Amino acid sequence: MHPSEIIILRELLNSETGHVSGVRLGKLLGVSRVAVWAQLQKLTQQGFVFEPVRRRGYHIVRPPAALHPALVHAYLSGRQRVPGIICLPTVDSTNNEAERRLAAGEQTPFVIFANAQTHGRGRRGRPWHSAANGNLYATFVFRPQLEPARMQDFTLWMGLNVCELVANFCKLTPGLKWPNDLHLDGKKAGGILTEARIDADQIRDLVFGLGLNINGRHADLPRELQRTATSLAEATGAPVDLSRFAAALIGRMLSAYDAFLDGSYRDTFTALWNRYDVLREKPVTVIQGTRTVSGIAAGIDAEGSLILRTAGGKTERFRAGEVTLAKDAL
Amino acid sequence: MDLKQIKQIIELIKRSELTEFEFEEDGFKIKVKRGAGGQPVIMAPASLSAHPFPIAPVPAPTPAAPVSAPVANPAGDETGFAFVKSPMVGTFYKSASPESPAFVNVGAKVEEKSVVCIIEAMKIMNEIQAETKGTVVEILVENGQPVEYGQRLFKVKLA
Repeated sequence: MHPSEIIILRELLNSETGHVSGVRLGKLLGVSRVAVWAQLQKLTQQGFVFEPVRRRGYHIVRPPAALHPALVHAYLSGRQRVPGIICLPTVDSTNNEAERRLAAGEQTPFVIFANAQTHGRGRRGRPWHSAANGNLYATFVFRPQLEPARMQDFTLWMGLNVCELVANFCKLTPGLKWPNDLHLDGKKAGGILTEARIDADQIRDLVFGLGLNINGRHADLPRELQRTATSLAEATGAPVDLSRFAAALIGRMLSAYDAFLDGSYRDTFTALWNRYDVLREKPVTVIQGTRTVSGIAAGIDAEGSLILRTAGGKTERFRAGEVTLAKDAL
Repeated sequence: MDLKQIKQIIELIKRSELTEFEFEEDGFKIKVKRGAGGQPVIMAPASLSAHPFPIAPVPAPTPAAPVSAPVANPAGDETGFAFVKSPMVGTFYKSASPESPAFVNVGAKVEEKSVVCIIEAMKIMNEIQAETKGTVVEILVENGQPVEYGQRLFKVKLA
């Protein structure tokens, strides 16, 4: 990724008319119009489609389908803080890569994006289908130095913020299925895996992994997932600009993390939870270890545990577990 | 001086013949004295106000075991052993996934940074490190079992 690419893309994105002349771009970069043309040729090879219009200049007709690091940076220009952004074509798991980079001393916060994962994983090592199909595999890495006890709302809070982003960005109505799945129209559209390392009773490394089905097409899914999974593009009927979404995700996750650290997240947590809780008042089955309990989901308690109303009017709480919605509830 | 160094001092004293140890540096003073049960006890981290850099993790002086590091129980038959304890309320997992091998089994050699298990708490998978060096002689909890704060998970024979 070249700095001049970011400058060109930033100018094209920020221009009021959508057009920027080659002369202006040349002046900004301190190069000739021919050199600008050569840069645009390079970007074209990376999947951009530009249109030169006589007397008005260039404009972006279409961004590349794949995540483009310079375009992500261009969308983030003007922001005060931009984290380290690492874009990989393929990786075993973005969470694993995060741990390797932490061990190598990479400065936090940083985010890793991959177009595909060979060993994408979810809770308890379950595989997360991660083909190079226009979906987003991301891991945000922080070093919060917080007591573990302060982390209880973290995963839910970040998940609620992903819901907010999807709702605003795509004009969709997503939901959060306790504890870590993003739902659209009753199907899974994303999953979260938060991992932490604790040192001397403090959270040292906090690794927030997110698999989000963005442009994946239903027909490309393995058959066993076709009934249960969907993507943002399937739900809206139009492809999503992956780089623009990634930039918006970075902005949202960083501000959500800040609100979590300073405690201001508590002002909106309950309202967001009530808006996005997909299990509320639905018949569900919870599996925790060897125990299986069925009942009606009744929200969460102050610790983030799922509350279940079981037959006979009893209440049970679950700190962790697998939740299945009863079939007729959807 | 950080918490880790204080832990190291305590470990050193435990393994030595010393009964008392005093150390001063840049306005920070630590005095460790061996208690009645042969257990090192921090007497007084003195004159903290004059300290030029923050040393927040130093606990208040108490006559009890001073830090949350796995220290041996004063009971005679546990001398030379340490316990890895759960730093939180959660669910204990001995491996990264049900199919993968356990992080450690009985007989495994561990070092401070060795990952010994995962505690799932608050929707976060927490990797727990041994924070001690030695050999695992006993695993005190079952896979998938709920654990409490401070609960003993592993018994480690100190190297």
